[in-house]
Amino acid sequence: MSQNLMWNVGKFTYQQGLDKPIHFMELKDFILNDSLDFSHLFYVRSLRVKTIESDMKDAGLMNWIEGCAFRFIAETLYDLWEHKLFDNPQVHITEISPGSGMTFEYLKYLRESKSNSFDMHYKAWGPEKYQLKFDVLHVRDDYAFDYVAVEHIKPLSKEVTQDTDILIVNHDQWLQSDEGGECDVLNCLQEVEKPTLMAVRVTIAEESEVATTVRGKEVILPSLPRVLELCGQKDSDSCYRYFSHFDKNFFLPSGGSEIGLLLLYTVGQSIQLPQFNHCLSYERKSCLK
Amino acid sequence: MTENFVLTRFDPCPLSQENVLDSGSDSKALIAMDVRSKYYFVDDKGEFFHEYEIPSNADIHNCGGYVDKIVKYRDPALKQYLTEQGVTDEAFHTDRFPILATRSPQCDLILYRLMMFVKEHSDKDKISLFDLGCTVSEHWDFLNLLIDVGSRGQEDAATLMTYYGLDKSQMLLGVSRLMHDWVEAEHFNLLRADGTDFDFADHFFDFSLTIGVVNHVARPKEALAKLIKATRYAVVAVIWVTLDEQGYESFTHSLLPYYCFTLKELQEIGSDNGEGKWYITDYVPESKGSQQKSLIGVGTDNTSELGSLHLLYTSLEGFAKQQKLVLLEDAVFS
Repeated sequence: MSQNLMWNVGKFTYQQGLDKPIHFMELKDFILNDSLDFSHLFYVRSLRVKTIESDMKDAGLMNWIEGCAFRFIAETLYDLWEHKLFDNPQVHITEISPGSGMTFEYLKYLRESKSNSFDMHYKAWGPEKYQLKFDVLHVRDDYAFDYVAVEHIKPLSKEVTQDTDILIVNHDQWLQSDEGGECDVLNCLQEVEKPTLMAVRVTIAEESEVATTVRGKEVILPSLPRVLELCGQKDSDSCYRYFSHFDKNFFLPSGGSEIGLLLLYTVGQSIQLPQFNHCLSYERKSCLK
Repeated sequence: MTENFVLTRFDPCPLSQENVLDSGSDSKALIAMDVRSKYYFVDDKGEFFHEYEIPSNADIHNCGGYVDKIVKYRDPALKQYLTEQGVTDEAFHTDRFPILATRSPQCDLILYRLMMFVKEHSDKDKISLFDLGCTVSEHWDFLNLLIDVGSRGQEDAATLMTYYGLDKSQMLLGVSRLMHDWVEAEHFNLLRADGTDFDFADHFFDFSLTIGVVNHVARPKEALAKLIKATRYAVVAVIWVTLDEQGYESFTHSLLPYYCFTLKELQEIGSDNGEGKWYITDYVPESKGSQQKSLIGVGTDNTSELGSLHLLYTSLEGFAKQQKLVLLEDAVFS
């Protein structure tokens, strides 16, 4: 049975020491999403342009950024490159559900901050409404990119992985955004033959579970054991890293199992990065402790 | 998929009739306040259910709205539309680009016309603009579009203008710099200060622009006076006023002091600090504004008298006549 809740999002003003607000100003959802995305993007860009790095630091923003997977995705991809995953001098990267391009921006930062680094061509597959933002925010940077606007990211067509060296499935961003459609990670794992890097919000339950985000988005969270089992069967060298209770308040409490972030790569080679484990080594008990 | 929750939006703290800061305390200055931004959920009995904190820094919230304006202004489709339609009043009211009918582009349109008027009637080849409370310099971008389209690609903001943006937010100025990193620094100046703490010689700027900022600086009347003195031709401004005979003090949702001018104060500041006159281009009562609960403590009794005036302070009478502008002193508020 459904539970009725009343909700809002905005600025609550309290007289110090009191619990009851004296004022509330609603923040519009669309402005809020952009605010957090853009601030995050410009924070990363400020890391690239060191002179204004300190201007962008805000404790609340830093705390919020910790609840996003972009940095983990970019760092993992970079580490895979350092472990000689790619043969080509220019790495072709495709990301599904890129938001305003934070993974892209982190990759630029990593590339520029290392002395021996890679060249990249980045391609994004995302909803049409992000296209203009993405284009405007990245067009003046000296990096090749394409943005392919799609109505829904399912089903994955061959076109998505054509000419790409690695596919990023950013389920975390899809889940946090107001994008529609369905980001079916199990389908991706089954269908995609190319090296794949995924950031997935999962439940540790044996089966997938329904969860509701604070933005009112109802989603089916894949089962961690199921994803790892499937991944291990497909590629015995695939590896994962699990972040327990990652950004857990983003979901409304519903009595379901623990929710966390799964970072996963299956690349057809035996590369085990620090802090990652082989999918086949997963023991259910380890998460349930 | 079965639905776990049915969500209904509600107002967790509706406006009361009276100013809540006036009830129970004689001094607003002694009340210490905290601001928290969050998603907030209660059950059908009104009991707390869940909350999710998000950053509370107003600069971060502003970053979304203002950068989004730049994104829209830089849309190639908008440039193509204005190139085809021309920079006309009619072109600014279209369902294709609703942003054109909003406050900022309307103010920029007046400013653009003023610039073209002065350019036509003088030998100036460079025009200086002071943007008081510039945030991420989104006005630069829209003026850039109008200048580019209006000149058929012969000029742009970087060639026509020397821009001075002032804001107290280091973060927003940082974003502005990142979004305009190709514009020569000589013609794109950013200054960090409170909106009162600037000192320029009289008539240092050709034009000035301020959208609501003089209402929430440290010393509002002083800031407006300095802005008028520092400007040679025209100040384009949006200023929140009260139609009452006494100025109105409050706080913004970011806990900044806020002052609503009286019409009489505007007239006095204008006549004491320059040769120009106030003209009115629009008036939006607070009850019809897009963000009606932006002021803390204001009750419904007060909001009926508050509103935002879109104004032009100028000594260019020829321009006012050409545009058929109405003097503020002749305006009737119903």
